[in-house]
Parts: sequence; structure tokens; C-alpha cells
Amino acid sequence: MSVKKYVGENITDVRSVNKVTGATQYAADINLPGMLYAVMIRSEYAHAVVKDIDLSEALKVEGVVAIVTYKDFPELHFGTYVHDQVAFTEHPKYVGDPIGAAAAETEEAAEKAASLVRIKYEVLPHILNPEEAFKSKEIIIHPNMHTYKGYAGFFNFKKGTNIPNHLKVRKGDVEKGFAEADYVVESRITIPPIYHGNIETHACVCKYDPDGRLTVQSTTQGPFLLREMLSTAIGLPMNRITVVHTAVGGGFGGKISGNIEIRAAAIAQKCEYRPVKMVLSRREEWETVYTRQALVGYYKTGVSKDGKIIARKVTLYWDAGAYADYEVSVARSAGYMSAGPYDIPNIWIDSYAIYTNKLVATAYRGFGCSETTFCYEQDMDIIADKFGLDPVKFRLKNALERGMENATGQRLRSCALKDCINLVNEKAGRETKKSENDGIKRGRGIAVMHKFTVHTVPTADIVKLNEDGTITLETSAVDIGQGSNTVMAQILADVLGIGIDKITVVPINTDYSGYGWQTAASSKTFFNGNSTIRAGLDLRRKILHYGSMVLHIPESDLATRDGKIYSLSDPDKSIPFSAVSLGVFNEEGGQYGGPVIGYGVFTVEDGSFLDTETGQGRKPSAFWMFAAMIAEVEVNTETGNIRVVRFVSANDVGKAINPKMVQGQINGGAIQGLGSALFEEVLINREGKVMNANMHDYKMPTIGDCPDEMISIPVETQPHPDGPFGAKGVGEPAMACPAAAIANAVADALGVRIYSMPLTPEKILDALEKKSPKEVR
Amino acid sequence: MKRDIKCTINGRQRTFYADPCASVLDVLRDVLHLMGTKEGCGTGDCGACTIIWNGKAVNSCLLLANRMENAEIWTIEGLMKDGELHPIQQAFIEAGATQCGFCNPGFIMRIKAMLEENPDPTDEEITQGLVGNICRCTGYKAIRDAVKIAVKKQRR
Repeated sequence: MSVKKYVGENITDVRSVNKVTGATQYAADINLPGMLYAVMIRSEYAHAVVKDIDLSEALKVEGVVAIVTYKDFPELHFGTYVHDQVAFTEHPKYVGDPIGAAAAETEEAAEKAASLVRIKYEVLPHILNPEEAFKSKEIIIHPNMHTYKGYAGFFNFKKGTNIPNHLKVRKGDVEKGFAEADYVVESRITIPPIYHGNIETHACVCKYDPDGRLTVQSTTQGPFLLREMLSTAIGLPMNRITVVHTAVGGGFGGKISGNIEIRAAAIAQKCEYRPVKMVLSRREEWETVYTRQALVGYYKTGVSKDGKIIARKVTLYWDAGAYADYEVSVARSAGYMSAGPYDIPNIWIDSYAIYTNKLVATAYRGFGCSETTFCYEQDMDIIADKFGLDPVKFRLKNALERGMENATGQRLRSCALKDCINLVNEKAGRETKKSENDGIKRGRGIAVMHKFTVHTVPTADIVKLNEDGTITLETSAVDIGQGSNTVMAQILADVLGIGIDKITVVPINTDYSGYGWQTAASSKTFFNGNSTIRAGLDLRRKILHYGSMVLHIPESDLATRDGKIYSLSDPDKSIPFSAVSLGVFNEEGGQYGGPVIGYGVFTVEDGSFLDTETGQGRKPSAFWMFAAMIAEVEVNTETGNIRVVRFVSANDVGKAINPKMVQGQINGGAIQGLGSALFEEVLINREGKVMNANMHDYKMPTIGDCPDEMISIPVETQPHPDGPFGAKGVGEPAMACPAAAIANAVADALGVRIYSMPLTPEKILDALEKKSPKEVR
Repeated sequence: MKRDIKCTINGRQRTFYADPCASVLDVLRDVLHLMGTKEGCGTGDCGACTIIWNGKAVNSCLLLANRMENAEIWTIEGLMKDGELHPIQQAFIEAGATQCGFCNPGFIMRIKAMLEENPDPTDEEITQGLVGNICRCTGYKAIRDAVKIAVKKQRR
């Protein structure tokens, strides 16, 4: 008898019908009776102290219900990793820092009131460049940093500086390595801030009840982290806060931390127990909320004559903006993977998160990967060129593989990097036809990467058997479009032996869902996949136990299939799951057992921190992901325009639970990476104000920017021994290679190197003009 | 000043009281409670608010409500017929073009207008037709695939 299996199949998105009919409810779509609208009152200066605040004109606006400022709330510090923020501040640290908020019957009235608040500032000197902020003794943005609370391993601050975190990796003897090297290459990269570009802006609805309970509906990637942040910032215990995530219209890391929810919840306290809605306009979203961090980085690599990398020294200055948010985690994790996926005996890394007076940088799809890959993969090509080595063979010679220890001393249990490299090389085949036009130069480039995930974030999932035999999965994974609801349903269907159409996956409500920190670090398939399996097995164990009593057949002879419990020796003997959904009833009317719920948790039992002095640790990451990509480009030497004509990607995913969704991640990441490589850049003026906070001055890729050909290969040669069905992750690695591969392809086409993103036509033309020396820094 | 505006929306005659200077997007969402049309930018750059207005795909955030007078308007809510998804909607699902879903209504309305004018577009025509809509999730490959699947479905 054949049994339908779902894992490994291209199951369509379980929530897709609502998406294509416009029925999916995003946070901005929520309208509740009596709802008010709130807008933020934001700082006009990059660094200042508020001296006086006059609400008199603002309060006269018709329809205004409440205006609050920092004066109305106790100074409760909160933050994602470092408690360096308050809901409303007297000491604004960037243009747009929330000072207060206004709530009114209509959005227009709230906006008008906010605009009429008169604020007198004492303007303080500000600092925007991370390298300057790193050295600065005069401008200290957080003078009380040493009093902040923060997570161990993420808050290695230096008192009296602008440095909330410093990650060190010390492996081998890097200076000895350089002394022994036959060739040393040094480079400096600069990466500007970019936007997440989620098409849905931040939005939430907050409501207090008279009994002191707060309900927040928000477009968030992390309902439990948001609840924790609300609890700290507002001073409410967690049992009085309910967070429900709505559909999330794109996250990419930008909806990981609590932000507007905290301010909306704060003003909702003063709004007569009415619901308060806050929706950011595109302009406000981009002027004042989040970016990917800017980076200035220095690389020095030593290589022996035979093409072996023997030493690498890396210094990274990550621009956190005004608050640490996720940036201390970026400095840590991006730091410890910044030497690249290579077997290097001598490594020295200093990675710093640095406060500046810019809008806040936060997590961004694969933080640090795309940026550092952009540097170390260009260096790889320079070295290969120097030795006359084939870039593919040179990478294969140095690539990490299973069983090896990486930079932090973690032994790799699954690593298909070499397979990825060989596959993209094979699939890319011979270079596609050169353009006939003389002004168009064609080139090809390769880039490879590795990516960490997390280890300290347990997940819990709950599976309920409904009375009719159908299943409800209370997942603790937030599906932000990557497809975790579908993947979890596939996994659960196979574990339970039931049709996927009998399973509904419901979103997180922090009151009753199991704990799951957030959708981050390409971790959901691995972590929630495992906890979903365990919850499924727990439920299956119970129904087999009850089934055994009903069928009078020993459990050892029972199995599940197609929503039925049946006898292995006599498959005609079976009962549907529904028969045991409430336990077992005997003939007299007594009952054994009860409603069936399965519970599963997943933790990384052998996870470990990193030593603060050496950066060494047995297992800071539950698993590692690898990828390789080849890009082909055409560069117009007259205009400096780059057109990517082809991407070939291979991603080491362990096992593709849903190959089509995996390819969707690879394709989406490739084009997001293309945007950052070619044209995306947040422009900030000398006063710290964003100059291009709209979608025509900040260009994101359209269908017209896509390559003619995109080949995306999920690589399944190295299933992870701890992964659900061997699966690892894919979302973030998908974005890591494009910028580096494109830069290498441009160098191949033109013979010039550009170490600053994005590769704009101006930089190309400039580099062509100064073609000698070859490397443009 | 608000006034009565009369038009056909999704095949039904509607009269509503609205500010003729408001955007069509705001009227659809706030007055008519048709929440399927999304706002991504409010400046005509992202296409999330695309609707079909008198046979043309337009960014509803840039159209003023007075242009709704006597117009024939289709929004995403009008595509399902007798409980059946429209072929373009089916194609989006089959192609895996639904990730976060936020841009989907706008894309689907744009594609509907495009295919009504040109039932069998070339690759280049698809690119030209969809260049005004932004999707941050899919890398557009699945959306292009969806157009091709929809073309086949509609030909049947």
C-alpha cells in the first residue's frame, strides 16, 4: 500500500489562497471599533537634549485624545540585546528618535497635532562615521553605557567609548603566518546602509483593558521577543501582555525587534482603553526606523606559494547607529564567520559594534555575510590571479569540509561547500556568448560563503487532535513568507500519517502558543522542524496507546496512515484518529485519558558560548550553511551600467523539505543581493538626515533588473545529523554571494576592482579612467 | 468636501460618500473596506495598490477619488468567481509566487490588465508590463512563471 509522503515534495503554500485573493490580514488592515490613530513625535536633530516642550497648540487640534512625551513615563530601559533605549527620550541620538507620540480620532488629526508640538533643543555635536566614533573621546553617544543591562557574549562593551561590543577571534599565530606567507593581499571595504525593503511598512494595533492587560497585534517576526521588550519597556509582567502576529508583509530582519509597538503601547495607556493603531508611511519607515548596518572593514590575507591560505586578519567596524538593537549580535556573529569558509590555521579577528548618530541598524537577511563575502571573495580572486590559479580550483583547495574545525573551533558535521562549488561550476558550463557590441564587456565571477545560525533559542510546538480527527498545529515559527507554515505542515503530516489538508497551522499568540524566540538566522526549519517532529511523535504515541485499547491490539502492532490507526499484521483493522481524540470511552460510560495534545521542544544541548578572549567555542551555532554562486555580467564601458545576465546558485540545505520553496528563497535572495550590489544605498547627509527615503530615489530591483537566466540548486549531499530529515536552512545564505560574485565578474570583464558597494556606473567609469593601478579602493 | 460618488466596483453599482480629493486607495480601504488593495509607498513607485480602472491598471494611490465617478473599477476582491479562483490567482499559487503575499494583489491586477490587452506576451513584454510593481521576496522568477502558467490556463 503506498502512502503519500509530503517531505521533499513541492507542496504549495498552505496560506496562498488568502494571499492571492487579498484576504490575508496584515496589521494595517485591522480596524477595530473606537480605534484611535497614533503618530510619533520625533527628533529633528541627530544629537540633542530636549530643553523645553510645548504642547499647547497641539492639544487644541480637534480630535486629539492624548499627547505623551518622555515626561509621562518612567525611564525604563529596554533593548534587543542591550537595554539602551527608552520608549520616549529626552536625549535624542538620531534624526527621528522618538520623543513622544500623539493619538487622535483620525490619522490626519494625530499628524497635525504632532507637527504642532514645539520642541526647544540644545543641539549636541554628533558623529556619523563609525571609524571616527570608534576613536572619539569627545562625543560619547551613550555616556551611561556601563550601567546598561545586556546579554553575556553580546555586550562586551568598553566603558567611556562608543563600542557596545567587541568580538575577538584569536587562532594560531597570525603574525607568524604572515611572515611565512609568499604573498600577502590587503584590502579595505566600505558598505553603505541599505533598506530591508519590505513592501509592508511597520504597523501595529495596541489596546489596554481596564484590568491592566495589554494586547498587541503587530507585523512582527518575533512575538515572544516583542512581549519581552514590551514587558521591560512598559513595566508590565508578561502574563498581562498578549502579542499576536498578523501576516507579515516582508521582514528580512527589519521586523525582528520591538520598535513602534513599544511607543504605541505607551500612548495607549493614556487612551481611555481604546485601541490605538500606528502605521508608518514609507517615508517615516525609511527616515527613522531601520537599515542594514554600514561597514568599514580591513582584510589582510597571507598565502603560501602552493595556494594555501595560511593567515587572515580581519578588522570590522559595524555602524550600529544610535542604539545597539541587533548590531551587537551582528558584530559577534558576522565577526566570527568573517574569515570565510576556508581552512585557515592562523586567524585574528576584531569585530566592533559602534554607536553613531544615525538611524538604527538591525538584523538583515544574513547579516554580515554579504558584506564580508564581498571582501574576502574579491581577495580570493586577486590571490588566484597572482598565482595564475583557477579561481574555482583555488577555492576548492582551501574550502572547509565535513569533519574540519572552522575559525571558532567548531567541528563541522555537515558541509557540502565543495559540492556547491563543483555544481555551480558544472552548471555554469562554458561562458555564455559574448556580446557583439564592442562597448559591452562580459565577465564571470564566483563567490562562496558560509553562515552561522543560533544555538540558544529553544522552540516549543503544540499539536492538537481535534474531535473530528483533524489537526491544529500551534507553531512557534512566524511565517514571514518564507513558507514555514507549509514546511511544518509537511513535516507533521509525515510524522503523524495524515493528509496535509487535515492540518491547519495557526499563528503565534503568546498566551497559548509554545515559546519561539523569532524568525531569524535561517533557523526555523531546523529548530521548529525538530520541535514539530517531537510534538507530532508525542501526539502519535498517545493515539497509538488509546488506539491499542480501542482495537485490543498491542501498540507494537499498530501504525498510523492516512488519518487512521491500523494494525500492521491485519491492515483491515483500523480506527480513525477521531475515535481517540477525547481519549477512550468504555461501555459503562467511563473514560480513560482525555483530549489529545502533543508537545515538543527542541534545544541544542551541546551548544556553547565563545571564549571572550579567543573567540573559540565548541558549538556557537547549531549548524552551518554553505553556498556558491557564479554570476555573469555585461558591463557597458560607455555608461558604466552593469547588467547581470546569469546567476547559477547552489545552496547546501541538508535536505529540501520543499524544493520549490527552497528555490524561491534562493531566487529572492539572489535578487535582493543584486540590488545591494548594483544600486541600493541609503544616503545620509552631514546632519544625519536621510536624503532618499522614498522608492524612486532609493531603487530596489524590478523584474527588469533580473538576469535572463537563474539556476538555483538545492544541494542535499550532506544531510545534517541533527536536522529534521537532515534539513538545515537557506533563507539568508541566498543573499550572501551575489554582490561578491558580481564584483568578481566585473573585475573579470574590466580588469578593475571595486571594494565599495554599490557598484554604481560612476564607480565603474571612475575605475576605468584610473585603470592603472588595477585596484580601485 | 465630501460628496456622493457613484461607480461600478467589482461588477456592482456602488454609491458612497467620500472626499473626492482623497486617493482612490484610501477610499477603497477606509470607506469601502476593500482591504485587499495594499499601500506600499503611497507615491506610485511600488505598484502594491494596483487596481483596474476603466480597463487600465493604475496605481490607486495616485488617482483621486473624483476619477471614480461613473468609472468601472476592479480590485482583487472581484476576481474570484462562484468560489473559483481566477486563473491568474491559481497560477500564482502553482508557481510559488506567494511569499509574504503583500505585493500579490497589485501584481495580479496588473497582470490581469496586461493579459486582457495582450493574451500571449513575450518575455520582454512581461518585463515591460510588470516593471512598475515591486516584489522583495520572490526575485520575480516565480511571478514570471505565474504569468506563463496563466497564459496557458486562459488559452484553454
